[in-house]
Amino acid sequence: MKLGVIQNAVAAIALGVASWAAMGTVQAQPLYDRVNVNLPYTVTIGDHTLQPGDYVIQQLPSESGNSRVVLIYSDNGMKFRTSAMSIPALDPNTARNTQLVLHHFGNDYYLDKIWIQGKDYGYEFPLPDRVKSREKEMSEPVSVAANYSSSKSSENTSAENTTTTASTTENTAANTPPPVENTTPPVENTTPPPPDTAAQTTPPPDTSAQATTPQPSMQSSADRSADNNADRSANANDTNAMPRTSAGWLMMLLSGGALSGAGLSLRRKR
Amino acid sequence: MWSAETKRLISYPLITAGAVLLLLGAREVVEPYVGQKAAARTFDEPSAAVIPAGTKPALQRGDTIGKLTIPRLSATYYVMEGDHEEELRRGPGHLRGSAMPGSQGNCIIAGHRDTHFRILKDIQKGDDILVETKTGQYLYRVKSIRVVPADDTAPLQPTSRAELSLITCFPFYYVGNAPKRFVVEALLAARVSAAAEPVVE
Repeated sequence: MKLGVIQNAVAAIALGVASWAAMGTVQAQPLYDRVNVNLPYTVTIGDHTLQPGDYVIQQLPSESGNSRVVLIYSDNGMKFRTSAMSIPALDPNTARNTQLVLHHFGNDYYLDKIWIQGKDYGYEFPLPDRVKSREKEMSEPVSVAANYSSSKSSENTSAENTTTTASTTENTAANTPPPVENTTPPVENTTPPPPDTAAQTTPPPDTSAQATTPQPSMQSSADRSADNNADRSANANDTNAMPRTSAGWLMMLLSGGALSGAGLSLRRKR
Repeated sequence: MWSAETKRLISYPLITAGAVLLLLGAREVVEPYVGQKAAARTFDEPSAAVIPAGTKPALQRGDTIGKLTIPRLSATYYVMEGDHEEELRRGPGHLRGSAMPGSQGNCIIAGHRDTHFRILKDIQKGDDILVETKTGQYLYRVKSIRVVPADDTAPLQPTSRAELSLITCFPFYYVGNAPKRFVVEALLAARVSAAAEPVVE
């Protein structure tokens, strides 16, 4: 009887030790990120072009467990490696969703970032040089000569027939749309998957950020140069005067205290 | 010099005016705190409304448009739409007509130097400013800090890049209308699109 109890105890201890050791072994193994995604667009990553479809993006193992090389492959046989920069998540918390952020340039999409739900970091993919140069071209100011004409109110509205002309320059870039925008296609799940979500739904493209309020027209020059004052004043809307940014509570309290004190002192002297 | 009756008569309006000013001053102290609490409830509560991409949410004055965080200073404020007294009393206000957070252009947010935006006295070049709205999270990085005359509207002008301007009065400690403005200019460093997700009702 006693021997049986001892045997059982030894067996239980041995099982516990074995389980602990196995768990330790598993925990010691680094976990590599893996993202399954269904791309709705043709997306470019470096020199590779991914046709719409299902893809797996997987961090490659490395000795440090902090690899910045990822493997991208699909069922149709496409498979290649590319490098990515590890970037911190914006919020002190971790990313809310797993999502790919695409760089939308013209009709083309480029993989920009990958955020992973529950992780405090993401991956950023460098843009191809040709895109960078195009972007730079787009952001440079372009001046185009234009003819200014004035017309009398009694005349017809056709400006071509007016007599007074003057030469001026017009900043065409002010009316061009911003060169880039980010969009977010759907990302289905991650490894390890969150316990309560089977698949992330599709956040629509992030164009809303650029269309939320009537915003002033954009200037081609990054600096606030005097050349664009006319343009600015026409678009300044409510932003033509500095806001009053003082609550003045201290002044009120001091004045109120002084007045009340004066009133009370008058009554006291009575 | 004055009779007791005259003094008594004078004391009434003085005490009344003083009490009113004390109450108004107290309101200026209390309402920023209460307003932020209310804005937090409004902004953080799950909304059943879906904001489709590319649409323009109809914002009214006083609506909470987002949350502004300066991690290094451990400061978080809920931003109202509009820069009138009513809005600025409750929190920093987004100037109507300026760009929305995250979009191209100059996003201008003003706040009272003696309540919410007093924290700006400690901000430094290179600090991160995180703005979270219903359309996503936007990380700005402070590129410059300057002080301009109160009538200098250059910081309000549109820009081609996605910028954020935080404006408050200067000096920070000053009784009366401060003669200058403290302007923090930050550039958009990154954005995370997180909003406009379909909501399961």
